[in-house]
Amino acid sequence: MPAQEALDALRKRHAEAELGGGEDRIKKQHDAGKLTARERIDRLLDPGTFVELDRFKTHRCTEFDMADKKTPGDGVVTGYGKIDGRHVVVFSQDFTVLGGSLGEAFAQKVCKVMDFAMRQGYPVIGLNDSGGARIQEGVASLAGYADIFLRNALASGVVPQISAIMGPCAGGAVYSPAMTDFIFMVEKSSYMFITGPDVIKTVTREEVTMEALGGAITHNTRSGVADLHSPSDDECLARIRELLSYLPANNTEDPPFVPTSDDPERRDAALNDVVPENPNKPYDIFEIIRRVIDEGRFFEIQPDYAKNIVVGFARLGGRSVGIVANQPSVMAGCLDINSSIKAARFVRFCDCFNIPIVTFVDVPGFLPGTAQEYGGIIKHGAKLLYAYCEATVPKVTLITRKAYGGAYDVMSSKHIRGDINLAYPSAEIAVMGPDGAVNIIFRQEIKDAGGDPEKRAELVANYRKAFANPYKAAELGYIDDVIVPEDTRPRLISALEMLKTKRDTNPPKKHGNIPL
Amino acid sequence: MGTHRFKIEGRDFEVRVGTRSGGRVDVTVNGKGYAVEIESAPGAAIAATTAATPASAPMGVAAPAAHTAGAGDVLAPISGVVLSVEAKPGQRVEPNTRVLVLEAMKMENDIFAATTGTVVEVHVQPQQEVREGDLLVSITPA
Repeated sequence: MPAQEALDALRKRHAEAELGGGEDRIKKQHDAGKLTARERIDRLLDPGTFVELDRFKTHRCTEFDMADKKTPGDGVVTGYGKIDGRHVVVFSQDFTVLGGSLGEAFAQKVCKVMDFAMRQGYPVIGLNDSGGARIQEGVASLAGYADIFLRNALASGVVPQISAIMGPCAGGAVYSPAMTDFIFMVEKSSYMFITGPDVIKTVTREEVTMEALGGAITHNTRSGVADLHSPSDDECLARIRELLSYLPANNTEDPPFVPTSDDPERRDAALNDVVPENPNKPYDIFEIIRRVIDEGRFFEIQPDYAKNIVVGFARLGGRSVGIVANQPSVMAGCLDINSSIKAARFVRFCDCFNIPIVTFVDVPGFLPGTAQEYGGIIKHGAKLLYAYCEATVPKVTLITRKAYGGAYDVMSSKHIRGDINLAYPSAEIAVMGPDGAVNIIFRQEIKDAGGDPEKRAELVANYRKAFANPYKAAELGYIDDVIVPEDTRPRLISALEMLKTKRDTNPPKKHGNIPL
Repeated sequence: MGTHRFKIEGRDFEVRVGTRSGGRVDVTVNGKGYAVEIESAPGAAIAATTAATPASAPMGVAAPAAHTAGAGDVLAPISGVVLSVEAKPGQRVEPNTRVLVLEAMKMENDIFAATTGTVVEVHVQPQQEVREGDLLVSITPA
């Protein structure tokens, strides 16, 4: 064939592949407020950096007239590119091709790029928009899913894996994102569930809409399955880029250092007044966090779930850190089932990827009640404890106010290998608060005084003076220093700088048995 | 969830309403158990179904009546005691308007409207004990 003809044929094939399921279906996708698979990749990656692989790959199914329904690319666009100049691997499911359904070839394409990611040490970004398994291909579709699931599990902790749900993601398909590190959902156009409203109606007779069952808001507020939600495809992709800027490419690297003009020595006198004098008054922990981190920029994870604990990424002196903080303005900052799990997963992610953890503590304890007990707070609280104990990344802890009981131990205390543990003068570190303690320790005295409220108030005041402060803990070396709040930023940055070269290990084992 | 006493045609009834799950509630009437299905519309008539095994544990003391939460309703995020009420029926609220203060875990917890709208009714008063999930304030979002 003359060279020109061959070139023309190639260009024709390229054009065909780029159309996916065709102009009509592309229009339908746009009408639904969604971008196409390729448009999403273009917006996600640095311009001109996307290199597509397997654009001509098709299925080889012949059942049910499938031989006539071959589309180059088989419904997924895969390849590699760059985000902020760093390589990533990406797959983008194409809803315009057979409803984005997954078959053997589709799965092989995804597995190929995931294998690259693991060998090259590049983050994997999956853009999900699929009707599920391609029924015509039968068990081969299920096998395809399983091949992907295996790689999700093997890649876990090796390279960051980020999933965006940008359309339907139902049935077994949800298990791939479920195993990845972060799930982003697009509002109103995405949903995740194992079984849909129709099947639910026939089995349990419940009536529920797709949106209520598994939409972005449900998973970001009720189930805690998702980490973030965005109003559009564009915003979602922009946020993925932002998240990646805090993460290393793989577990052998340190997170990227981003120089900042925010002075590492910056002191903020306003910090001296954030914690109210009255220990019963709430305050917003963000008033402290935002004043301390570089430029006040915080990338929050799960902002709408378990709001009694705050987790997210920030920088201190240019270095990425993972921040965990009790939120005293929500549920008194208690630890409960949901907040324990939220924080535990975040701590373990940071530990996977060499991201130091900075913990702000103001916790009156674990939330009491039968709902928590029957719900297994014992097991779920233990997850957070285990996560902190196991983590060998630098751990810097600052107790701003309360740290009572078991929660004191759990929140990155010195005893579980906290590296630098600081406290504000307002810190109250004790087994329990004054009211509870006095009832137990001075039970006889109170009884002898006939329950006199003034006597009780005196005992409470004495206890508060003696124990509701950081100095007992400091005398024991459990707190390394009590600091003036305005010095928080320089103290944290100095600690992190000193801890940069930390090396610590856990006993050799296949892996531990974290209570699940 | 609540205990209610009725006198109907001279007869006394003690009704204990258990927790809802899906569209069902366990209810005991004078000690006899029923599994009840609730129709979708809030406040609609409740159709009793066949008697179930008698409810085992005694239900809680009378609390704000069982209510299907509407879009703007403020529920207690945690069990505690109402310290002060700041919302009034007819009041316009924004998401960050504080409607009441709840004492829990020895701390004052500010409870916010969390929606833009008008207060319809405040269901609690100072010193009242509330459970997690109890309806505190009804707000019509607008």
